Amino acid sequence: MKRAVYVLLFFLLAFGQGAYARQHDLSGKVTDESGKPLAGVSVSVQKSKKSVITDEEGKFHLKDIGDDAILIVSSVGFTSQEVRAEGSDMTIVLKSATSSLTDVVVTTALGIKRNTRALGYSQEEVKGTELARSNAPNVINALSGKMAGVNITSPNGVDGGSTRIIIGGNNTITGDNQPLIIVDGMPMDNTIPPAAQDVTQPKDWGSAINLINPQDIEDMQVLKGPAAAALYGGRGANGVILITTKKGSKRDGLGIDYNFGYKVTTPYRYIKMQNEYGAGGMVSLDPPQYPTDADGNKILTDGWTGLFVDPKTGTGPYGIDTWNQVSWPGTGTSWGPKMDGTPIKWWDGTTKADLPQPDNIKSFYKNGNQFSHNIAVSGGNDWGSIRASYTNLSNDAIIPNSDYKQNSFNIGTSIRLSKRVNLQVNASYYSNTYHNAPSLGNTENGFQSNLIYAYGRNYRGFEDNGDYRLDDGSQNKFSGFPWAGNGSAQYLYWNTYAKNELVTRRKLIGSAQLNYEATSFLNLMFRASVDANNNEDKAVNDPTDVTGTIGGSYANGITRDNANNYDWLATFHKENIKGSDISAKFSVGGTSYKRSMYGISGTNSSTYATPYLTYFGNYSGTPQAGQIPTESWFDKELNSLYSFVNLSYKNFLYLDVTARNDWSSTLPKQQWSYFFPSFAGSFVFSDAFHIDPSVLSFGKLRVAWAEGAVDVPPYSINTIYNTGTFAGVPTSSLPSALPAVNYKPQINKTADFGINLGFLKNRINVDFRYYHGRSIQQLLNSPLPITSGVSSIVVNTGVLENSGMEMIVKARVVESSAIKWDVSFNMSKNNNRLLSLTPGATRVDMNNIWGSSGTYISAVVGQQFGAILGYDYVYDNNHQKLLQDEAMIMKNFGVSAATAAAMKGTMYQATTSIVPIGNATPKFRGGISNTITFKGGLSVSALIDCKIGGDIWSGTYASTMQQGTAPQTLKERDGGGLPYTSPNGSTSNTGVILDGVYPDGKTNTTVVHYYYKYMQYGVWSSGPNNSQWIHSTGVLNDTWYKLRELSVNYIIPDRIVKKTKAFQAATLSLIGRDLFYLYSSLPNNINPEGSNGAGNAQGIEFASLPGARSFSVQVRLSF
Amino acid sequence: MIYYKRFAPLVLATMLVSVSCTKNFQDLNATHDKPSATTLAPLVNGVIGTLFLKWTEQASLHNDYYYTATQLGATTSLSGYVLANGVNEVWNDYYSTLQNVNLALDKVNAAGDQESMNNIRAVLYILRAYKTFRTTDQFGDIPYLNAGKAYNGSSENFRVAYDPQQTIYDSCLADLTWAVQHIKTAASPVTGAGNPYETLGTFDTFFGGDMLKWQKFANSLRLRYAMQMVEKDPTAATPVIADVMTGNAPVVGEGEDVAMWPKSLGGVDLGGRWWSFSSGGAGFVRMSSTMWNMVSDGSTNETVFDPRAWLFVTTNQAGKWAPYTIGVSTGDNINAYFSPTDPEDKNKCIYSPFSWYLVRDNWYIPEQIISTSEVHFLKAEAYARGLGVTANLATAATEYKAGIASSVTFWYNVAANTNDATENWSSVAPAPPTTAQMNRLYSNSKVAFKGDATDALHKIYAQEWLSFFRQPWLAFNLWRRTGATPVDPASNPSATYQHFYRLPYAQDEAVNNTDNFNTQVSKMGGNTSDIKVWWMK
Repeated sequence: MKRAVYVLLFFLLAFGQGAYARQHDLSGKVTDESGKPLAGVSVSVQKSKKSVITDEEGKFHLKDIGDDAILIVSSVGFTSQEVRAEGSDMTIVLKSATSSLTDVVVTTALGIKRNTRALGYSQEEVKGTELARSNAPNVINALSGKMAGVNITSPNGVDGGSTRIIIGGNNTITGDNQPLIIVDGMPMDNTIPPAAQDVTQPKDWGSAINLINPQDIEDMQVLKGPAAAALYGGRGANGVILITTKKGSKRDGLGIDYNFGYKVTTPYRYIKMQNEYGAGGMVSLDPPQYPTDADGNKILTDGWTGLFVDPKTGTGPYGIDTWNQVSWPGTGTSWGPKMDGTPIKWWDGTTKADLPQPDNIKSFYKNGNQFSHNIAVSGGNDWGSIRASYTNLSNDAIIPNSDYKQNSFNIGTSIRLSKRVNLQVNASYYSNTYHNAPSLGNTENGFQSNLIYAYGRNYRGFEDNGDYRLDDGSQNKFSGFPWAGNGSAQYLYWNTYAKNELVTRRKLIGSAQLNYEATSFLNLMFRASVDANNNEDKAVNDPTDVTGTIGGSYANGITRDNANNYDWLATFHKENIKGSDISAKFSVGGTSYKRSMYGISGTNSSTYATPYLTYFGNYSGTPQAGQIPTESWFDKELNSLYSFVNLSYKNFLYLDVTARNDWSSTLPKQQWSYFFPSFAGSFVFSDAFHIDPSVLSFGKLRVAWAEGAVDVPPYSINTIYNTGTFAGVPTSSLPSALPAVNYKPQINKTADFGINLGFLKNRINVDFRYYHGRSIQQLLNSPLPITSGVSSIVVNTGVLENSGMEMIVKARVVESSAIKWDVSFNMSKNNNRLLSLTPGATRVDMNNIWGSSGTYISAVVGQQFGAILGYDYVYDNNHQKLLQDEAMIMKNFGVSAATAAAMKGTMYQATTSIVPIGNATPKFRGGISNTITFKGGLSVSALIDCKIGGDIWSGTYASTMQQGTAPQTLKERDGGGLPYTSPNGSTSNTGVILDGVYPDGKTNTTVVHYYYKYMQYGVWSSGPNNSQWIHSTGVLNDTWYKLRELSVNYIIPDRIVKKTKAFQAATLSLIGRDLFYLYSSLPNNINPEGSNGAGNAQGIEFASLPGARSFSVQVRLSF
Repeated sequence: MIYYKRFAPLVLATMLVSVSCTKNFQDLNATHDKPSATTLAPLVNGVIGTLFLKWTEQASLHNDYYYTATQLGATTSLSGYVLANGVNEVWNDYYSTLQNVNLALDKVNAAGDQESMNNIRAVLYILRAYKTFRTTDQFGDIPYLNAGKAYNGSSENFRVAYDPQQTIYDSCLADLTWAVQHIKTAASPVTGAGNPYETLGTFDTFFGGDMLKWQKFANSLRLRYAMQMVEKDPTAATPVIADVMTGNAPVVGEGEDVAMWPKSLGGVDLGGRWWSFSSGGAGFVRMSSTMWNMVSDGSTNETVFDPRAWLFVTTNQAGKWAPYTIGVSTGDNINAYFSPTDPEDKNKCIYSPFSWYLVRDNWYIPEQIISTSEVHFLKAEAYARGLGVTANLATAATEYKAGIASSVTFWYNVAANTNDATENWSSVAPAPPTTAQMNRLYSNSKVAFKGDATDALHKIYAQEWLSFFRQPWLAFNLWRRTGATPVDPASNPSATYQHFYRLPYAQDEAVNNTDNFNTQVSKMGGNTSDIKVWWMK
């Protein structure tokens, strides 16, 4: 059997042919632009089933073809061509598809193959090889920076965690804005779990996309916007990602590929903190002193004295409790004495020199490792092809005791059952066990939160609290540990090692698709797909006592989540209708989608009857409420009918019209059915006007308009009553949030314009896109005053505007036989404004940190999606900050006139309600990649991506500034302030003047203690007497440029490989990922991509992990 | 053409199969674990369940403000909760309950034979009036007539205006009057159309279906709230007082104190009581010097003349009676109630705490709603002032003494019966006072009428105030209404307490009911605590 590669073999429409046509045999040769023969090229005859593959010399032979037959010639990496079969021995030159924007065959909605020139909307593609080579944490992450307007957010960048992907902008405020993911025709639920969307304390086990194995992917198509995804209805309103898995190909050798990957992830970008001053609070205006014990010995701190009260006064500065002046700082407050080596009594009773601990910021972290082995067997013959693969992956994180393992099985096959019938079957099975996802954000189970909130700068890392378990097996209580935070920061290592949670996910996703070419003008497709999931979540917290019965807990839950999708499509097509230049394709199809999820879980945190054993029945005394299992459900059915027409004129003018009607079970009966159309046109004017290729080698205009409709989550339309019992008798009550009065689907209407230009024989390609859409009938939880009886009602109002522009430039800068240099640049700007809400409402809060006293991410009418709200300074008409005058201080702090006079100049005024203080929406996103390919198989590629503009509220910054741990807080303590006299009479250069004016207009000139410069960063609670702290101090512009990916790929030359006699091919890749930031506007190494949570609320950072980079090596061997 | 014939049926059949199935949609979309319909009776029981005091309400309103403002108790330091915490709790509880009452009334209105619903309607009117009076008394004008109706889906009910307190009073009193007049107390009443009266059955967990008790409760509330407004609107209030005083309908009598009894309500755990006094970070309440002056003539056990002193308060850790003088005494910022088992371990407190049992018991001691003694005091006031009845100081004195006796009896009964797992008050409680001891109380110069109406009124107010020892919200009303409750001349309360007249509206209103809120605030001249409510002097 001759060596051949089956690529795109089954994609092509084979047209029937009239019996009256004259026939002849045809031989030919396919070469690249340099004249080199191309093997494995598919040559098909339009309107017939005839199709052959070129041999090693690029030759092919076809029998009995019509004189006017059109050949379709295609191969991976080349622009496919349609040529008339002229003569009996022809040479066809395929152009390299370096600039794949103009004229290649891609998979579009419903898996239909189309030439990009016919597309009236925007679509981008990434090949599976590129995905696999990027070594990104998951296949979505691999897109980061590579596509225009495709925004990837990977909070904290931990492997295995959720990735948020938004194409363009957001279409819904409270719903899911992520694109629909289709794997081989099966819509895959990729809901990011609520815990991973939390902005306060996210716990992120990742979503379904994390399971998808890049090694098994043939290609991934990103369909941007509703027009591209019109055929997917509402589910495609956010765009669609089409994943096609491999199906094998005909090839030489054993057909075995082995791929080995090793990756090391290194935390490197640790937060910067000061290393001069240790534990101590803002308690006294005199210079800080060590507290002393009864014997007069200097002691570290007891976690209260010195942090929250001045031991001498029992209160704070000016006789006001510190917490009433400075929110609630953490136990890590480090406004204390200089760590100058003074011997002090440590918390554990020993005497230690009080010395700086600069490395405590790194303690706890380690390098992460990932190993992967993939073995794939593939082959094919005239009847079809098959590929089967197995991948084993193990990963451990940069924090201790967190790891996951995955086994992936994939099989893909394409079989020609008869001349007219083709069957494709794909199935992937994944088994993933994830042990302890990292605890992120504001949690004492995680180190970073403790570092910036709970642990003082003198904290000695593992030496202080690493010995978490006593010899008898019980928990070390660390009696006297002063940095307990909110109560359990001393147990960091216990929480890390003695609390274990294991999430096991098993997923089967696959489809069987039958294509039947019924006649020369009618094709039928039937497909059945499944996405079956079986997940377990088991958590075991060790008992903390010596008996092994108290303080432990056991939780277990099982979820089965099955979805089935059945679809069919009938396509009638006719070329050159009645001898004209018009060709038409008409399709009608339908889909039936059904998803059924059921979960059950419980918790046993009782005292165990039998030590250490974890099962629900192991309790003594009264069982706890958690032992009664909690259930969850998700049932949905969505049926659809759709139809579409593709018209083309002379291969340069195209028009697509689609119509779809959905019936969704989640809507009220009168709204079950809803209809939406789309139009898309493409005009290749360079062909139409025969423009001189030396001026413009390709030019296309495209325009599209689409309407999409999104249904609502299951059960949400039901008015449900709360039930309970009182005095042993049932009670019921209305819910605190009401459903909408009349539910309607959310409607998205988007217009999409684009121009696509190719210059210099398409060596330079430019693609520009502008889109403008509005999403109306937003399903929103509209807050109501509780005087209405409820706190919110769902409304079907609200208009969200989503418009933007994207530009892609791809160029082959250097083209020679020795070197090829490709540059790809993309940028996007999105305008995502909330235009209106229900009358009387001005904003919708998406999430917040620290509850009502904290910072919110909201959609505010008139503003960009993602406004950051919090308390702000009050400004006068000249935009000067207003300070509190004596009367305000008296009222707010309940102090005498004399004290208020002394305090003058210490306190700013704060707004009485939360106001917009920033916006997380970036101004631009973009990326630039350079790939240089050298003769001999070596290529080097670098990708830089960037985010320009957009704010972040950094709790890390606010906390470290307020607690005296940020490097910036050293200035006055190190004598860089203004002369200030303490109450004890000592004068030093530690004073500040708060910049601002008083209500009477007078400028502040009073020098006050430096504390008052930093107290403003308060974040955690409301102030006394309804006054507020100021959150705008933590809002920072978050602009960054990052070297995202640097890879070296070496295809070992055939002449070397063949000598081994064992291998057919070998490739070696070295990849560096997330290498470093070229620029970040955030101070102190705060993680620019450390936004908490992967939900719609983006823009809150607190305790983000240090930046980490990875280096990996991949070896690919073909046998 | 042959192809069309061959495949058209196939295509059509497939189309039909794929889209014809909407028939299971409704079943598929039904919520599994919550009902989407409800009936009247559980709604009413749900409303009854809200009658207990809320946790933060007790901590940040009662303990932080009402006790000190009325001088019935003293707080050594403010709780860890701000005023807004308590405000939000009261506000949210009231309005979320109001909507359930309104929904229940919708169901009553939907009945065919309206008369058959009279007893249930009366119950709902009484519950709504009771909760509404409590709320408006604390805030002043509030949204009421159109409030709590968002559930009907009409956007005009989403953001509603504030109603004047006078309007609310008129409306609620009218409801109570309707209830008193329409309640049928017979065993199985029948309507004019021959239908039996609907009942709540076991769902009436408050009075167990005893409509006479509902009627007495409603009639007693009429007396309380008519008296509350009589200074400002005598025309409306006096006939109501007269009607109650005349005895056209009964009021709560001896042993019929209306209260939430946790033990008889299925064993409710009133965790908020102790929490509000201590572990919630709440204020550490102590015996005020004002209260001590009303129960003793000195500083020793021997000087105690009011037997309730032994039940209400206790000595400090040193075993001394140590009253806290508001605005004068300092320190003692500790939790004197911290011991879960030992009443005598008072955490070295300096000032006399409240009774450990009153604070620590979660299971037996009731929360009073309207006591028999209060009704006596209200009647005594009516007789002393000639409101709705002819002034008669002798009858006033009779009601006054009955009020004192009723309060003493009530609390001694409570102490004698408080015997649950952790607090066994019954084993240590003093025996009920003897006649001699009661006579010592009645004859004390701080208690006995001197003979003139002014003195009588002051003493009525003083004793009513003392009877409200565990109802500081009612003491707060009495203080604001009369301005004549006891004050220790040695005390020096801050301006905040001296002018603490109302609760500011919840912040939620400023955010989500902005226009109506601003209109109301501008009408009042602010939203501060020093603005008087309508019925205040």
